[in-house]
Amino acid sequence: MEHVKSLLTKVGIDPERLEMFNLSAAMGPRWAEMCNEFTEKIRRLGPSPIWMATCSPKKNIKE
Amino acid sequence: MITGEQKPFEEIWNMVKDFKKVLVFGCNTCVAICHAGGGKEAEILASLLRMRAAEEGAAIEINHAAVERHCEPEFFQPVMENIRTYDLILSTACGVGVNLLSENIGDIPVFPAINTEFFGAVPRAGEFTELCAGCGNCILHLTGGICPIARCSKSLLNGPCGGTNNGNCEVSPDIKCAWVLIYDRMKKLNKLDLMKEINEAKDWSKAQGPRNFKVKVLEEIKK
Amino acid sequence: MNKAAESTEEVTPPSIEKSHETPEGWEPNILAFACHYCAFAAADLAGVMRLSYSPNVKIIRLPCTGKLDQIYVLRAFEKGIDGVFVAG
Repeated sequence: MEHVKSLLTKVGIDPERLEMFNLSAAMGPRWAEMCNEFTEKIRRLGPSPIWMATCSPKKNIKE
Repeated sequence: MITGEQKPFEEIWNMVKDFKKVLVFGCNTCVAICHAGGGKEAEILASLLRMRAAEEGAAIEINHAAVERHCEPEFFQPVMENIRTYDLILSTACGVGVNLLSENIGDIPVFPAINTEFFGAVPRAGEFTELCAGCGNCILHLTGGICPIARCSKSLLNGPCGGTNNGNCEVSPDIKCAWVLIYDRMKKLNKLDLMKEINEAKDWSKAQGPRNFKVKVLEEIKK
Repeated sequence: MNKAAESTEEVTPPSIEKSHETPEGWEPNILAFACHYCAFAAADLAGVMRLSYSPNVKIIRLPCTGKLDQIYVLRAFEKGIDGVFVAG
């Protein structure tokens, strides 16, 4: 994980965009919480630079 | 095996940024073992370069491929026609591979993506160490199987020198003093008397490149 | 490796990415690689429990997170994904 994070840093992608979680099969509520937390984090970071460079000019925005 | 490490990403990017169609060409033998230039590393490097190109808005087509070996033409000959359609081959093979491919490919540049280092052993997975320098004139029978040419910082033939420091080399505490290792080994082999003999200057002419040789038997068969 | 819980509370350090304006209507696109036996089961349980969570997360089930290869993550980013998490 750390290695891939360093690879992403090399190409100018915030390593915060990649995360690893540990949880067990019984942790349904934790899963939901985790998804929300991570989505919020990404929302704060904004679109990825690759998305901005490739998808955004084409106005390929869903919805 | 040959070891190497990938060049810094910026250096690689500066090599490829002015080309339009680039092939990251991996070699699945030695450099794959040291996680520097196998098919997998070539694929990762190609992916990173594509992302960088997208960010910079550079229209470069970057693909990846790999063959088993770059040091023998028969391995890359079958794909030669395909790779000739690129304007740059970014080779993740060792320097030998880059040279040989350059000679065979015609007018397409072949650039190196890794720094080739030494031929080494793999004492533990992911660790590489230089044990032989390929000097062309082996003296391992005189030194208990431990090579002072490769493993002593000064390549001393008669040692240790004054820089030996509790079994380590003065250059770095991470380097074991080769001559202390030789002493310990000779003691075990009960051959300490060999240590007293002065090893005469070596014939270094055999250590200089360019070197090549032909196998006599095979030559005779060809005739 | 479980830094997620802390990092949400801390002030995020400045990102290495060039700052850019977020286009209107943009929604985070997130990929989750989940182990079949733990995280995917947890996601399943979340569903059974009728818990609602962010619809931006798309799950890819792996037989085990050990199956994850670096290249899967890189390919996702290359295609323009905004975030990836691995759960197992």
